[in-house]
Amino acid sequence: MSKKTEDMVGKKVDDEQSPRFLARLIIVLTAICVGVAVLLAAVNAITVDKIAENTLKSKTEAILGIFKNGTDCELYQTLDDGSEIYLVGNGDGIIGYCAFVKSAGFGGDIEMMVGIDSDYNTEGVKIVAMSETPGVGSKTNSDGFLSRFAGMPHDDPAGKVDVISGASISSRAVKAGVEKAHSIEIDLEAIANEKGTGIVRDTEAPTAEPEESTPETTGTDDTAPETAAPETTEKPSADNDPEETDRDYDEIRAGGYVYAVEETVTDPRFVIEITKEEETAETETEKETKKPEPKPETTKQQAKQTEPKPIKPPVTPIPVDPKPVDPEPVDPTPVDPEPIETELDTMPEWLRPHTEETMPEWLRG
Amino acid sequence: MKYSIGKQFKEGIITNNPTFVQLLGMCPTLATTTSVINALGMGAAVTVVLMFSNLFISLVRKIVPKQIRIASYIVIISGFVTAVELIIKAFFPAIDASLGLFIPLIVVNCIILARAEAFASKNPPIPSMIDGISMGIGFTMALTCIAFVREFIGTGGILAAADGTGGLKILGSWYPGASIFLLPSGAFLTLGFIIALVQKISNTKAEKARLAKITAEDAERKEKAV
Repeated sequence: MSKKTEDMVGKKVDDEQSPRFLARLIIVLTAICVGVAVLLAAVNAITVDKIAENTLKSKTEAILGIFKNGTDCELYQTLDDGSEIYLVGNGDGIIGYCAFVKSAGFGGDIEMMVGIDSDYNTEGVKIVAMSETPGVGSKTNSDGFLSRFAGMPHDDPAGKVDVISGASISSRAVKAGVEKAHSIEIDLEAIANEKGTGIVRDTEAPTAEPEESTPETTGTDDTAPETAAPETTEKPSADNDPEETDRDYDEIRAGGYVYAVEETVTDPRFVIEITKEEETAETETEKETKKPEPKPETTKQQAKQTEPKPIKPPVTPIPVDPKPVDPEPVDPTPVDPEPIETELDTMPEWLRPHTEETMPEWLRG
Repeated sequence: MKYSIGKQFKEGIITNNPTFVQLLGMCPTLATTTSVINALGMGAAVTVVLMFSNLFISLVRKIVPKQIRIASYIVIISGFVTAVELIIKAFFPAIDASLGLFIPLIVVNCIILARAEAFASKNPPIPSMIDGISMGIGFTMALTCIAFVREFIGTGGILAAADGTGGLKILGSWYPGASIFLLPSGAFLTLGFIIALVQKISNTKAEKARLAKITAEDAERKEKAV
């Protein structure tokens, strides 16, 4: 090209204004763009299948990691917000479904796979992709936290799971994702009829149940806290009463401490009280489960004041003989007219004011 | 050939290192050096992009008019970055999971545009490609140095895989790990100290050379005066 468009500063080259130059600009830029587009189309054609395979593989791994009895999974539905529903089967029929959901976390979207079994309880949660702060928010990607979701019911899948302290935003994002997965309406019976397969009811008990039974077994070891232990554990878990989960934690602890005090108290009145309560253990538990219900309405102050209520006052107060107190012996002799002791003499030495001899140098005027 | 491959490599890796001397591409440097494997992956991606973009920009340098220079360079660079990103997603999904957003950000990595402007647009294709390779290797080595320090102090081991498992545990389990080095603050600290060290060494050499020169000139002057 003889016409050089490179010019020195401040000097205009004639052909800059000509339409030939403009045409050259357009042609060169278009040619470069077309060339790059062709290159990208070629690379895409090579890699698109492999990429789809990779994403499906990671999701399938997550699904089969949640449903340990599952053998195959298929994509059933893709929703508008990017969530996907996968049906999981084990050869005999559908054992549940997995929802792939995204939830906004601290450092970006958290992509997770939520497994839901045929009874619509959570089977398990696995995080597929997250970009939370390492060491802090990434703690949510641990078995200890994710296993807490297993066995949770359909109507309250994440309410009772505590967040990890220091990683509350990431934990809440995971909880929101689980709730979102449960909110997607899926009718397994209708799907099974559609596909012509059956539904396999999950016979495995969810992992949450064994945790509740252990406090009860330890409660039966001791006789005294027998009435205490089932009540203290029933209140926090509160299977039979979902409203109790919103109770003030202090009130639950207050209820628990009442019975804890009984164990170590040696006052004869209360010892009698415990044995009496053992006989009426059944009625006691009924009363205690009813009592917490009105408690949320009372303030904390009233709750503390009503603490002693469950302890019944003794029916026959045991008389406590007061020890005969001897009156101080009165001195029969008249008081000698001795010099009256002043306050100064009864004062300890270090408290007495300085005299000339004791005054230190640095304190003198 | 007035270009010497050895000289170009020395320049790219030591005397004109893009990270420690030119201070280019700081953002991906700080972000991807949390582990050695991540650093190597990032460095490899940048090297490939540098090599091809330098080659193709050098091939079109005489055709592209000055006015659309930057636009066409960016198109070429982003084309190659996208191609590299697709290849990583397909064949190295673990690296993709850990580097994530930083692969597409190579487009705005200053090193690539700087070498395109400073070298590839003025030199023939083969030396441009060699320059791309040498700068890429210099960048990779710089990243690996920083990542080694950060991962070693941060976790007590090196070469942990992209998802955090495996690797060579050098210090035992007694070492709690200073996770500040895995966070951005540690990145800045490590980078700052290494740049200071590099400057000290190069300054020391330059200082010695300068002092030697002054002493020699001084001695000459004294001789002449006498």
